[in-house]
Amino acid sequence: MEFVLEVRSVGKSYPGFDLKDISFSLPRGYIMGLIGPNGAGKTTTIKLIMNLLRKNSGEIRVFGLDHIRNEVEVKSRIGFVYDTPTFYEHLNLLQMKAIIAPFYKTWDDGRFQSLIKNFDLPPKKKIRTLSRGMKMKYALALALSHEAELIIMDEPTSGLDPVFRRELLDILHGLIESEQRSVLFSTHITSDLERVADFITFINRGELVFSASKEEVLEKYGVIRAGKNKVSMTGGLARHVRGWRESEFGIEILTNDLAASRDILSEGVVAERASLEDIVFLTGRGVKEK
Amino acid sequence: MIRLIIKDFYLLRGAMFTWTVAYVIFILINSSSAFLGFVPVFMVFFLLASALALDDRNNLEPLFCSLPLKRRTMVVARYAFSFLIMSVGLLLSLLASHVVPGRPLSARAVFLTFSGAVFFLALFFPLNYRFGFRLENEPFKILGTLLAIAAVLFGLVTLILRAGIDFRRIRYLELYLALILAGVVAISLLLSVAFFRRREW
Repeated sequence: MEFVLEVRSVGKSYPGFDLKDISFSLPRGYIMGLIGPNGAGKTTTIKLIMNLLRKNSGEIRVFGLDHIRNEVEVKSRIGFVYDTPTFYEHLNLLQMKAIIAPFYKTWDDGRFQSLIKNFDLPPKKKIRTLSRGMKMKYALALALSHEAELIIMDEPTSGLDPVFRRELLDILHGLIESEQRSVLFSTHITSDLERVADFITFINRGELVFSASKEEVLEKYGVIRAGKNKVSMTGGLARHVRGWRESEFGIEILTNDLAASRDILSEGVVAERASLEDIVFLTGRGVKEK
Repeated sequence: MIRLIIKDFYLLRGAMFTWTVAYVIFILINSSSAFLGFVPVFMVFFLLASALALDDRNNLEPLFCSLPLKRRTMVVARYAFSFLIMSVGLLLSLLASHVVPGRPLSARAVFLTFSGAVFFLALFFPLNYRFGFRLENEPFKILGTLLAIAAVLFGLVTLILRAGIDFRRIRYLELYLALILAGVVAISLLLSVAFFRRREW
């Protein structure tokens, strides 16, 4: 399998926050969602890949190349979209394009014009008059007009209304149809991932929880729901518990091995597949209570 | 690098046009050599500040750092843009001073003006790449103080000149100055590149 992105044991320290030992790989032709609660380290990871932050340890290879030593080549093959796209606000869309386009040897103006049309963007309108959704679409049009092989997007759907969000996710899905493009995008909205992602990398409090295919994650993880004192978290089950929540109605336990946990549980206790939201929520709780 | 310089010219085309028109009008009103030498220097500082403020206001440094560009290229382009505007401005002043009636500007005066401005830019750029361009930043307050000191020194030099010291008698003055300036600019450039490489967003 050919990987377009390999992140190995990457670490970054800030005052009050550490990103520790993050590793994952994205194969060509797939979409990977980077998920985690706010402040988990998703944006930091993306900025490290783009060399907007300097890593303290580890290695990042993009298209098999070191991302710093081959920065120009690597970036010419990446389309990057910020969570809040920034442009010269007083320019219109075509003027801004005229500034960005010359930096890419593979710029395809025909493609840009067709994307602008498809995205219903007004080419002569000033950027400052565009809504957040339109700016995001414009940033995506720029990112897709130079035959980028890897599209990296930081929280592209946050703050967008449901119609725009759905539209954007459909665009992302359409991108990988040729199997030559890959997409890495961060989000804290789990339903976005369930819709389009092939792989999921979950980061929580600066640590990697897992990086695996969506099917594998949804197959393995489960939620045990039981009344109070119906489940003992000692013994065999403890090995698989990743988080839990106790309420007046009972207890919810997240297990990372649904099949094994089912074998251990006593009769009358329900164990079912976990949704991505369950996984993110209960993992967060688990870490807090440890 | 050329694309970055063209980008700055493109973004500042309005300001440059206004400056040129204002410059021509002022030459017709006042063609003193001091004025002709001063305007291009003031123009470069104004245009450079405008370019930096425009990038800062729109938070565009991260955008340009995500393009296929080396950070070193971005720094060198800004130096080149500044020197280019100043050179063109001073050249125009030199020409204007010979066309418009009044005291002509000497090549030496142009060179000394250019040197002073380059020295200031060499001081300004590393601070800009270390701390970012924000006038409220501490380093820029310090730079403002330095500028005030420089103005006082300039006044003193003017007094010395009036006292009759003839710099034309100092042999190879331009050569010494050019060598010192080249060294200062080289150090400034190295520092700017090193600072900008370490910048994080």
